[in-house]
Amino acid sequence: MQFNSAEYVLFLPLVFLAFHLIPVRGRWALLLAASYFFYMCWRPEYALLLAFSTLVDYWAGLRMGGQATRAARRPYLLVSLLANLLLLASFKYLGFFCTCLAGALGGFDLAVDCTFYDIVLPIGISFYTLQSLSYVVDVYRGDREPERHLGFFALYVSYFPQLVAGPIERSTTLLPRLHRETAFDAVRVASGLRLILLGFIKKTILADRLGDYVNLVYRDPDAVSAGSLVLATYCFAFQIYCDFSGYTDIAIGSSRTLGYELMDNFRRPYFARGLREFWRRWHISLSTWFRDYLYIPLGGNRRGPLRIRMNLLVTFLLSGLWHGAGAGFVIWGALHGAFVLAGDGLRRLLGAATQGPVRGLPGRLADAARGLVTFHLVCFAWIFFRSPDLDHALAVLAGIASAGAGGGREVLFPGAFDLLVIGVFLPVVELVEWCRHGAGWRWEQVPGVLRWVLGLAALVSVFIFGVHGSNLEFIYFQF
Amino acid sequence: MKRLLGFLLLFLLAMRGLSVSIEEELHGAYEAPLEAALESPVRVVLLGDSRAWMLDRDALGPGVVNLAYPSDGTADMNAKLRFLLRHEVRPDLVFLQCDWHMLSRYRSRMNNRHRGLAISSPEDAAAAYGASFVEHALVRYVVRVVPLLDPGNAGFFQAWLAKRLFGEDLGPANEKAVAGTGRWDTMPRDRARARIRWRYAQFFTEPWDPELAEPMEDLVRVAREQGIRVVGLRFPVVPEFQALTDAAPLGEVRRFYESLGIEILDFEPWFREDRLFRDQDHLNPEGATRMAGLLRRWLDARCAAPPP
Repeated sequence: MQFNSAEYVLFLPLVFLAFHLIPVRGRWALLLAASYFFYMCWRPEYALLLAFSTLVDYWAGLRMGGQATRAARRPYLLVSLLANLLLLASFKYLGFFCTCLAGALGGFDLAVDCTFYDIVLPIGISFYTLQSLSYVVDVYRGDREPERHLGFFALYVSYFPQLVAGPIERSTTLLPRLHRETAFDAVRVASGLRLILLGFIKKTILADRLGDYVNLVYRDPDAVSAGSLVLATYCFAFQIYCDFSGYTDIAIGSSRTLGYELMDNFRRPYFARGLREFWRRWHISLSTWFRDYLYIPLGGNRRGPLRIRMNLLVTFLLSGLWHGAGAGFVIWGALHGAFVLAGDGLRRLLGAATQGPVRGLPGRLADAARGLVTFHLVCFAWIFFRSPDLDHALAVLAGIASAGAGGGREVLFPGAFDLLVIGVFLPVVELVEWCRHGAGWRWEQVPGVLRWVLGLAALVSVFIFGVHGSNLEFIYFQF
Repeated sequence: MKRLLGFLLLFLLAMRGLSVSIEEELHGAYEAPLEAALESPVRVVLLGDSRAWMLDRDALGPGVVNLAYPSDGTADMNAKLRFLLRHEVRPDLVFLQCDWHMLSRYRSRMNNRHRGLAISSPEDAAAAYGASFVEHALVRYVVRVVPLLDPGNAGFFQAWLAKRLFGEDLGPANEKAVAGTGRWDTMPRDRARARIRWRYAQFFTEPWDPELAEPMEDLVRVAREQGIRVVGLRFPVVPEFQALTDAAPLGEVRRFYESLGIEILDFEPWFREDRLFRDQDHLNPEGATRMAGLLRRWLDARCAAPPP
């Protein structure tokens, strides 16, 4: 079941009504049943994987809870890590590794048959695996007590608003919230509904409209002009932002209507003034997960400059690989790691020098320049992320590099109507995000009549300006 | 709760107001020929999709009513015949488009289900579409009144707005309105071949959907019960596309058409010239006039009934 489907538009109100009508002690069971139903609408059999992951980690958590030392808890941590990562590897990476192996051995005239691998990736597996693992690691570290109620733990792993594409929650925050009783609060519900509406605007009006153009251009990069490729790459940057942050808004909004807050995942990332800052604003739940459960355990910033760089690169490479089993994702991760390291180096250089290229410029102008450079670096990396394979990405780059050469390439630009819709709604969405995250502004401060008009206009806009269809999945569903 | 209801009421009013812009394209153009058919004597009815839609009703002769509409599927055609019968209009003959793509699975997605449900009674909706009472009521009394509540209709509104603001043609939603322009033989060959490949993949990747066969079978049965003669009609396509179609895996579709036990007319030999087509599978005005003339001659020769 997709958030942007008629089924979800019926499903959420039904869950909401049942949630507030049944006795408080039965709510976890209702949400658990709803979450499994939500997941099984896609492929019922894959709910077994979700249940398996849940049971293994529940058992590991309980066993670790009985041990006094980390050393005694370690075997259970390893069992959980092994089970989860094996599951992830078999469904997500086996085909990729097999293809890589076949490629490598092909040079020695050795053939490897990878055709046996034809498995559909279980939706959300990358997300719930990380969420479940974070619980096990938290218990191992002694950051929290093991959860003794299987129902609540299963709900923590499978909670439907954030099950298939995050935000990746931590056991230390979400589990206590799920235990807490929540009463009906009209203001909170209205706030959740507004967030859902914002998510729908981002997804249906912006992301899917931008996606039409991006698909058209990226379908055959050899045949289209450099200008079209550059424009499509910019469009993809906004498409993926609107798509994923739209999904997150719907997730957070849905959960808020039930009384449970989820963590923020995006804070106007394209206003970042450096790659480090970008990662504090983009997919925050993932970047902080990798920071807390990978980068810091690897040594973090504690083991000298060379090790810091190594840790950073490893973290970014794995973050790329987490997105998908493909060279494009790995290169995307590596590029981000390299950009962060280059940024650090440049900062040291400029800090040591008396004069740097941006020194002496007014602060805001310097920030704008840094923001512009950061945005373009991110866009450059998106080319690898968006392209289905490495050859395709190189074709896009070659196409862009051929600017001015012409050569019979077709010029594809979005129509005036699409430009108008994007030109109106993208700034509006950014303004709303700025109000939410930058200006400390609250919806309640808007006069009542204007609130009604704006709310009405937003809802009507989703219906009449949205791109609607049965084949408009969220991009991050594939991860 | 009062505020929520007030908000929803305002929302419905706003959507109703905006819906006016697309009502004509969405329902008016679909229902007008049906309503016209109730006003005048009907001898022959033509049911089909965009291929049949472009045949000029005047060229077809008196008493011949063209009820075809772009994207009409087998269930839509069934619903139209039932509409006529419900209003006690009983033609002598029905021309039923029996092209190879009519039973292709893509038709499950591309059809006029909502428009057809809006003209159906609950019983006819169940018979033609397998629609439940609730779905029928929802479409006929909610979506029919406020079409923009169905997100699938947003494209029509956007096309309408783009046309008025920029004179821009957004494509699919009003593709139907630009039928009859252009000539296939003037199209660059690369583009023409690409279009043929695209269309072939669309039609014949999954050429057989038994669920689409049921309404057609039912239509023929209902017509026979009413003493209406059904004659199948195969529309020509450009020779290059015809050659591909001849080699397509159409065994089940062929068997189904044979099982209907109706005569199927195929005027393909009269259309072996690219200049008669506007695209790979649609006639242009010259081709449509020729096709209408052939049908009229066939009717004059085979149906003795005098014009009303």
